[in-house]
Amino acid sequence: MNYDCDICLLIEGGYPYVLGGLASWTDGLIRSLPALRFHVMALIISSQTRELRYNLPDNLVGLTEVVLDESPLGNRFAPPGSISAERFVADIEAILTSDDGAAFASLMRALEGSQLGTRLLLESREAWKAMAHVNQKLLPSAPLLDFFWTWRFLARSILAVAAAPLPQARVYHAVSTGYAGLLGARAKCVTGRPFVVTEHGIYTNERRIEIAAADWIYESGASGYDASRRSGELRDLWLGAFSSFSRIAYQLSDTITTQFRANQLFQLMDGAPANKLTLIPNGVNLDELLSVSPSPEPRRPCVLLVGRVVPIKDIRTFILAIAALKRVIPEVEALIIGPADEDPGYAAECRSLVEQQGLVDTLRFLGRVPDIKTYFGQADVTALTSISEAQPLALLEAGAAGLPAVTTDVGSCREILEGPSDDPQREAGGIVVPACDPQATADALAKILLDPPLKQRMGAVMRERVSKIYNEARSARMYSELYRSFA
Amino acid sequence: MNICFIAYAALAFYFQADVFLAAADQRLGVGALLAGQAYLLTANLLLAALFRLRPDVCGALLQLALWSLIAGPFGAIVAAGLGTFRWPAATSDFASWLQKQVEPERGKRLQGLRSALRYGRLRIEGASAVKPLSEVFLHGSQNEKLDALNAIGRRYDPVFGTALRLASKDADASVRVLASTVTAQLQAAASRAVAAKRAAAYSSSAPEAWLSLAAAHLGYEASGLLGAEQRKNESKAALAAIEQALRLASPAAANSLSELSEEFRELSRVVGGQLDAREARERVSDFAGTVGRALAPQRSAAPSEPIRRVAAS
Repeated sequence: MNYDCDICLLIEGGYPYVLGGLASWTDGLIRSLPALRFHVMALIISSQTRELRYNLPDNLVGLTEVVLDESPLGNRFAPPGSISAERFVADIEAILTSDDGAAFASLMRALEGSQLGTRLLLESREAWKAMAHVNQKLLPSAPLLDFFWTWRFLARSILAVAAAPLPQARVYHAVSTGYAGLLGARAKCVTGRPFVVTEHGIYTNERRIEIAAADWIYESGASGYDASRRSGELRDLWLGAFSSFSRIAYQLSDTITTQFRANQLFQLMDGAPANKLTLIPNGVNLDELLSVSPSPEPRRPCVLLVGRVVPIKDIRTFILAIAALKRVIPEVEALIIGPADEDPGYAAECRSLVEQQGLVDTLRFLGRVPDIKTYFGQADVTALTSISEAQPLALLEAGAAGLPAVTTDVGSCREILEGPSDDPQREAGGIVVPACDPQATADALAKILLDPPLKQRMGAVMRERVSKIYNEARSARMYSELYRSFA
Repeated sequence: MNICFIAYAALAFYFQADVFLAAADQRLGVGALLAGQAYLLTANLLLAALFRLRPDVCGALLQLALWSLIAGPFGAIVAAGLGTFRWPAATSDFASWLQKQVEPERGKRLQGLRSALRYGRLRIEGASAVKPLSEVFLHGSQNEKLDALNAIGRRYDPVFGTALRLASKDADASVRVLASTVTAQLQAAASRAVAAKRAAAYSSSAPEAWLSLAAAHLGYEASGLLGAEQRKNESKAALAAIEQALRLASPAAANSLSELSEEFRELSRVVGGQLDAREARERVSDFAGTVGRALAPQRSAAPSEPIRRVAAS
């Protein structure tokens, strides 16, 4: 059989249009396996900017966009024997609530080549009646209009997934569950080719957190403070849908990979079969990082934060921590390296906070820099104040460059700093602090900066640990072997 | 009661009509007419007294006595009408009716909310199984914890600060992440409010704007979101804002404010020193109140230019 590519990567809302850890990982994966031809299917929404943020590698042979909120209109009437609007609605209801893959697989096969779309399946009288019936059944207390828009977005996205043109690939590899996982599950159903799911952060958890914190979802408030007797709310529909999407991807995949063990526990809880789970840690290119040495010129003590200026990185806490640190080490300098254009409002607030705290001469936003290694040589310690992370590449890169770190207790940061349970190196390469705690962050930074032997020892531990466990060559070899195992 | 009363009213009507017609035909004199009316009135009052334990019967008989006295036989018809038809507001006890209407609703909603707020607790399993927030975060399921955090995020109150900190140390990473997300959102909102007041204060020479900034700092301090050191910093920032308000005070206020300068110096010393965060906030808050009251009478006459340094830094 002729394949268009070896690996079809299915990516939701990321590479090559968005900068960030996951996008860098994707770019690194493609570049680290030059012998394989990759095709990227980027799942996006229509309002997303589609400006390439990466120079595409030579072995990336195709890029397809799947716009989730632009599903095809399709025919007005269903040909005999094809799927009816009522059955479509019933299948969507199952997919959004309790599916273990069966309803999804059956729907994808029924829609394959049917030329049907939103016109018959979402906008016909029959579809409306069936949707109103589902509203009564699932969330009778939710206003029909709010239910309708939620339903419409979710159902249209599934239609967009069903209608996306699939390249012929040896392996389909979704870089998350969610819609990317659904597209991979569809590829598995219609082509029969192997399907791999890789989760950096746990998609269901991230959505659960996002939805719990969202203020745009209608909520009746009928349950007041009582969480156990909560009557059905729209956010339950969203949560149920994303849990179900993960379950479908887990059930229809051949292998499920993640970077660290704690994630596997969440995957098991969300319905992943234990026999499909595999660990493949992230890796960084050590060739240049291991040679980074501290700059010999006299300079101020320097704290480095590498990350986008967005709320999830909690840059605000970092700024407040530097303000507290300055009271102990007045000559301290802090650098934030990372793009600030993703959330301009938040970035402006952070800059204003720097002024408020009197840190204009202490803390600088450098934006995206061409060569980060230069800054690793000029820094004494790296800090990561994120609220949520998976296995941050920025931390691994700084570690490979011999920088100790202060990080929040998120993702696998503790594992990176203190070592996995089976690591013979028991020393810590940095200090783990609670999230949203500027004082604890400042105290930890001061402890490292004021104790040069401790700083050196921690830097050496980080360098050793990263080069042994988190190196790109090892990670690439593990993925290469995984892909080969399907051949 | 209705039939008996109507029959009695009809009898009274017949009796009065007969007496009045007889008087009109001059078969009866005025004295006899008045005696007849007095007879009927007495009979009605006696009957009313007899039925004093039946307020509805007693009331109807008194109506009959009154209306018969005023309007003769026509009065008996009016009284019969009033006594026969039931007027809900007139025949039932309004207070108990109102109580009956309000109680179930109050029981359902206000009581629930009041109980939920008492002791800063959330009811996670209904009224029969009260679960304090700390218990939810110590022993609850992941969903319970996320739901509790959702409720805290939506209806935050400073008493939830402790629970939020407990959640941010949870063993479950998702709970920690949501707790941090909620904390970061609340902190961002609080510091945004301070920033707005700061911008207003810096663009104004009115001492009130600086007192308002001091109040914002003190509000952030009391938000339950900050650690001890940060709380103290907020109190210090509030004190600095008060100092600026004192500097900008009008000459008219200067005399009364100069008496506060010693107190200010003492407060600056103790807030920067041994005072714990709560006490620091309370003392700064009291002082802000004193300064505000000292400035209040001068507001209408206050010139805009900063006049005189009252407080020494």
